[in-house]
Amino acid sequence: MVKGQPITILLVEDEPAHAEIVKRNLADFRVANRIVHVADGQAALDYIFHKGVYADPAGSPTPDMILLDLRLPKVDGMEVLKRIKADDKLKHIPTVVLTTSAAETDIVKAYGYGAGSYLVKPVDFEKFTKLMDTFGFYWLAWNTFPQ
Amino acid sequence: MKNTDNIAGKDRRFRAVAIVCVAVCAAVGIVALLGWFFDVPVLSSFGTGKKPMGPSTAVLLILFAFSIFARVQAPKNGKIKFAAACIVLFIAAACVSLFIASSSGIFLHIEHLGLPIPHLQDGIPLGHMSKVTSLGLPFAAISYLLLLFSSKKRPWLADISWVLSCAFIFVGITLALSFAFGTPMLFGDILILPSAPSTVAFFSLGLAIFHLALPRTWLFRDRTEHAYFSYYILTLTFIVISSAFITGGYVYLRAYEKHFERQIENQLEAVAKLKVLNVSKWWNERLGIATVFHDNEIFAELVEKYSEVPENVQAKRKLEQWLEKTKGIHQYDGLILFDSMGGVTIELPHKHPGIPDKIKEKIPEALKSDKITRMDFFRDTPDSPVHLAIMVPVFDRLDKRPLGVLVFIIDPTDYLYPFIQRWPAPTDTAETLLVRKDGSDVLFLNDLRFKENAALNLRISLIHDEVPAVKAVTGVSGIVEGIDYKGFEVVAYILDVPGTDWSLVAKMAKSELYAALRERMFGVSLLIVFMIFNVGIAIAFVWRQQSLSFYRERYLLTETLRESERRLRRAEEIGHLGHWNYDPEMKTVSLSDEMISIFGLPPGELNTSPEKMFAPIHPEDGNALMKFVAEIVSKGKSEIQCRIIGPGGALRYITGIAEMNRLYEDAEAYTVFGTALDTTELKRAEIELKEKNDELMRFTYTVSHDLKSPLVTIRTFAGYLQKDIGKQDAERINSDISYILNASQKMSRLLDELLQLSRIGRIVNAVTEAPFQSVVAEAMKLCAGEIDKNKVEIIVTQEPAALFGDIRRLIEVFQNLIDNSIKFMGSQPSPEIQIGFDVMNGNKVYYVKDNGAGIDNRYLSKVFDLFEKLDPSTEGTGIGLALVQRIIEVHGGKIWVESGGVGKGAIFRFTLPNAELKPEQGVRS
Repeated sequence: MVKGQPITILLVEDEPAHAEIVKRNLADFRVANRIVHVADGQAALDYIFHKGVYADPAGSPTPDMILLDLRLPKVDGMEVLKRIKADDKLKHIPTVVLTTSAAETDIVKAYGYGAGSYLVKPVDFEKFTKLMDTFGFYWLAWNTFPQ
Repeated sequence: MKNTDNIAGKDRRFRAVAIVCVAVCAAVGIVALLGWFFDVPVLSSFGTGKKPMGPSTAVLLILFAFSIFARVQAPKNGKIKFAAACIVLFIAAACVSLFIASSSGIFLHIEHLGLPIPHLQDGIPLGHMSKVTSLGLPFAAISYLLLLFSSKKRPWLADISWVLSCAFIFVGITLALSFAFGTPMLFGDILILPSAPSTVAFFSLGLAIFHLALPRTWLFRDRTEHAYFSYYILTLTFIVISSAFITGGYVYLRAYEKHFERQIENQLEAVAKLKVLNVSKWWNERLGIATVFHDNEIFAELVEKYSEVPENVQAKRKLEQWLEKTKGIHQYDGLILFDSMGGVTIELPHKHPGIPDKIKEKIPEALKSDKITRMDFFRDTPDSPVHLAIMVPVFDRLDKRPLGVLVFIIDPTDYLYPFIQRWPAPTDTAETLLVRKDGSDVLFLNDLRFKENAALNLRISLIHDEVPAVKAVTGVSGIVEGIDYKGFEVVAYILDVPGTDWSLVAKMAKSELYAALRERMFGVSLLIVFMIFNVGIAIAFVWRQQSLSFYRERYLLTETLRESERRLRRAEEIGHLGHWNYDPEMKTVSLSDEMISIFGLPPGELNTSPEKMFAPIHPEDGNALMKFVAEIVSKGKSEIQCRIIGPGGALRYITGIAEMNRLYEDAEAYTVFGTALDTTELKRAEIELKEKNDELMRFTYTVSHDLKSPLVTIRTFAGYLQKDIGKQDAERINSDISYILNASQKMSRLLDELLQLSRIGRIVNAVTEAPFQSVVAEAMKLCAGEIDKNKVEIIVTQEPAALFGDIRRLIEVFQNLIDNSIKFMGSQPSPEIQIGFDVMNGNKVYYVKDNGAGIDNRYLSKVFDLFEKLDPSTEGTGIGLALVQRIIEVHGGKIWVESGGVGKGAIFRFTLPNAELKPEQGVRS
């Protein structure tokens, strides 16, 4: 594609099926991208802040972008988003919310906390695939990340 | 507020009448003074020749009137009250000293205020206060002083004042009557009656005090305005009717008195005339007999014969026989024939007690005269008998030579005195006098009823012209009044006896004359008193009827009021709306019972200060309170929403509204009326509603998210499946199908559980009773498989307790909690669950405690959320604890979880207030 640089995406998704969908779709982009999947909010925070099992920064590189579900066990997505955007070193990481919730309050809140984009999971295969394609193109092909 | 207005209104009307009366009193005084100053007597006496009002009386009356006027105009002014009391006291003191002075016969010059007024007129002191006035005014002063110092605490002072004023009015009426109908009834001049102007002033003064006192008396206390008027009319009616009776009685007595006097005059006149007639007839008879012997030739011849030849026995016998006969028939005391030398020739009776010297002295004179000589009443000495005598000279027929004198001696005690003294009717004091002028005296000729031996001995100087006898000899005749020789007041009829220089006085003591009149007066007075008493009873009866209807009305009113008050109290209680009223003048707030209960103030303290009332308001609402108070004053109305810290620190929410009431349109005075609505329940419900709403929103959010999620999976993997089938990628096809199956299974389970959750509270099973232990045992039975599999030891408390409620649901609570604990046992080698309850603050707190994985404190609040799974790897959808929470909530309880942290076990605690009471006692969930 335009840029051959591999980027790390942190996928925070409690539903394994949904994680699979994302992975499958992004796998279509033949880029050596790395998708790190965590299943709950606490794990996501631990990863980003290098805590617990993710204490070694080498094993868990800081993601270039975060794909975040809102409804998560333990710590919900909104809290995770808030914590990331409150950290000076991490707030630059583009965070895209990908969730089933189309609730206006969630949308407003997410943007308020500094979400870069808000995507609602469509209940339609074609649309979901198209969304993921467009997402992949936009973020993985065209978007430039800070070094 | 309204009540005081009414009283003020009533008072105002009475005061107006009082002011008119006082003005009349003052006007009379001023007019009298002007009369004195400008020498117009009619102004100070209301009639020429009548007794005038003294200048002193006028001044005191004006002062009195002024003090009442000033007081009525400024009823609230304490200084004026004091001044009025001082003036009235001064008046009383002045009157009393004048009374004492005049009683001792001293008439102070100062009473004339320096005016040139003679001290006496017709023997009556002029320009001085009468004794009645000087006694009456202090009474009026006392009456007014009592009224001045009467108050709500001493209402009886006003009562006495009113009674005194009534008495004063009656005295005024009686005095006025005496002026209207003639002389006063009281005989004699012991009392110098007040003048006509004084009487008018008295009457108006009494009327003024009457009107001022009446509204404060027992008659008018606690009356409604309607009753007030009718009672006033009743009181006036009583006074008018009583006055009419007094007037009627007075007029009747006056008429009777006149009639009686005429009767007495007639009686006296008749007696006098009869006696005069008889006396004169008797005297003429005496003279007539004497005349027979005068110029009687036969008698003269006999006397001559006898005198020439004294031995002529025959002649002597003849003479004696004749004279004897004459004496016998005409009852002379004696007949004496004197010869020309003055010697006694014949003396009849033969042994006459002695010829009075006065006769002997007169003989020579009689011999010289050729006429009959009358000798009036005479006596030789004050103790010798009284006689009258007629001397008849006897002459020689031829040479007119005196032969002797025949003397007829008359003893008045024989006939005249008894006749004169006789009275046609029995009497104690009546008598008749025969008097004659003797020099500068009047001489009493007969013996008197009340004075021994008075005839010719008693004489009274003519100077004493009040004595009827004196009047008689100074040319007065007819009916006269005067004082007799005894000093008694008498009425007399005077008549001269014709042919003599005697006057006859028929008299009777006034005391006897008027005794009958007095008796009549006493009877009439008694009758009047009796009639007034009867009128009083009649009025009292009407009054009683009025009072009864008044009290009935008031009772009904009170009942209605009480009922409406009760309803208000109840309405306030039910509506949690209290009210209060602030009086800035008193600086007190009166509170309704509900107000007290809302504010948690000490019960029964219906009046308190604003500070105390506001004290329970939450300090954080202080600014709102200040704004509230400021707005009441500036805008006249204000509203506040604030919190109150009740007893025991319980918070209450209230909404207060207050408005300012101006008492009078133009005055500054105001009160503040306010209400306080206890909105705590509303607030609580609001909060609860908000919580429920939030929960509902969370629920729908969760449900929509969690239900959508498998749907997304199914649709997406179905798409993949389609593609993969096209590619014939068997591995992917299997994977896709398994995703789809998983998702649909999950969805179906979610739907089942949602249904289950929605049933709680919606479908209510019958409330039954079960022992705590059996509920737990039932739950354990349902989890038996898991318990056995994980070798969990469960310890249940043996303390007895009973649970009431939807037992099936309560079993579910324990089942889910046990299930949950087992699920999160972690790597615990000897899993153990304890189930029991503690008692905290008198409430049971149940617990299910495990020694498993524990919960990270950060997640404690999330464990009960719907479909919340702290560990995605565990089984289940995460509805268990949400279900538990819902069941507990339905039983009125709360659930929470405590944990020492990861690996330190967890303890779920919950309360079940509605499950601890028997259904009859408790609130059904």
